Amino acid sequence: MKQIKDIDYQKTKAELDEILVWFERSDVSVDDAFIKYKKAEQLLEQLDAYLNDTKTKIDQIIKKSTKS
Amino acid sequence: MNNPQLILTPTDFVAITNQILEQALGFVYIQGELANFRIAKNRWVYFDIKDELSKVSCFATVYALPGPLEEGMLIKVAGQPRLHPQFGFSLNVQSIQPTGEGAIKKAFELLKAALNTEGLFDESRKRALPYPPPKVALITSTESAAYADFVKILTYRWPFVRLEVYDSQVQGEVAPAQIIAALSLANSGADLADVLVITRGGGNADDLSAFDDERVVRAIASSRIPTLVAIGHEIDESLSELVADKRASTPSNAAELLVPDKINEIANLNQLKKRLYQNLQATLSLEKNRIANLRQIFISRLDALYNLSKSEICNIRQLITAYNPESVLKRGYALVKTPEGILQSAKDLKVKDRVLVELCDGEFDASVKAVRVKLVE
Repeated sequence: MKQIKDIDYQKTKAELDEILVWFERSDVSVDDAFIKYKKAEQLLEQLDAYLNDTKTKIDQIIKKSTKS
Repeated sequence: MNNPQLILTPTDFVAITNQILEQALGFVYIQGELANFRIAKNRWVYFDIKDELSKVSCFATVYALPGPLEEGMLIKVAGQPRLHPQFGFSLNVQSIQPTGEGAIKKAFELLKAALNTEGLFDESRKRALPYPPPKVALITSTESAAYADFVKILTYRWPFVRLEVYDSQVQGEVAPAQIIAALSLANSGADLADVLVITRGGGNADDLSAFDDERVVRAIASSRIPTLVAIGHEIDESLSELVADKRASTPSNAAELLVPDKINEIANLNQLKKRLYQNLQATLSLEKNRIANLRQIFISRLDALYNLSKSEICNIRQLITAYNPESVLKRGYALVKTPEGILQSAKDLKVKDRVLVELCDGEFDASVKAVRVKLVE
């Protein structure tokens, strides 16, 4: 959960976009591709966790507003 | 006095005569027809009061006049008989009152016309009465039913009012002077009343005549305190009422006009409170709905943003997964590595070179037996 709190969504997503752009280049080395892929997976996990947390918060707000 | 030895001077004779007149008659009241009426130097008034057989010379100041008078009017005068050292006998008049239906009406109409010409009855002169007034000055006879009615209704309707009463005769010869004195007293001092009420109950024309007296009417007109006058009944019209800031038909009506009814006021306030509460409730409810709608809009936008981000991340995941080198190996492809790194061209190989072949689940060493390079156009 600490990870979720600490991440900056926009910054993390920008980092992920950079990796995507890297993969789209023609001179990609396979060794680097492995490293980049691992990094991308890690970032995706963080973003997923962040979004899941956000969803929980949204659900709580909806529940509260329905009650009131 | 029948003494031939006693010789008087004219001055002595005048003095003795006046002394005798004063002792014998004092103050006399004479009623008769007005004749030879004239005003000298705007100050002195000379006239005769007469009947079929006699006439009496009269002298007064203009301050004794109740209003405009005309020859032939029936009047009642009060004064002291005097023998003047130079002008002879006359009645020193203190008060003059038109009397009898016709004379009173005539005097009323004359004064009304004169005051109207002066603009004393103009609507533009009328001042608004404070409602309800915190302090009321009342000029009336405290022995009258009018006083009792006024006070009863006033205090019943609005018990918070401060009442200051100036007792005055409201009919008879002394009434005008007493009313004027009361007006003067009520208008002096620092803590003035907010409204000055002058009232009396019904009566015949003679009873009500003090309120058509020019001096009284002018005193009301010059009152610093706004005035409310109620004289007699609805049908009676006095000049005091015409000159007042407001007129009431009866003493009771004066009290009703002056203050609101406490019970009605409480009911009105309760009604107002109820309406205010309803308005407040409606405003609150409206605002609550507005906030609820805003919340729904924000939640929808938040949810949409979440869905957008989620789908964006999902797309990126699919792309990244497609770029995963391991997934290529899983499809049956292999990586060929030389000591220089991953082999990317057959041109970099020679026969008998040793290479490492990597598959998705392991690797093996291999030796090159032949090299066939594709011809690329």
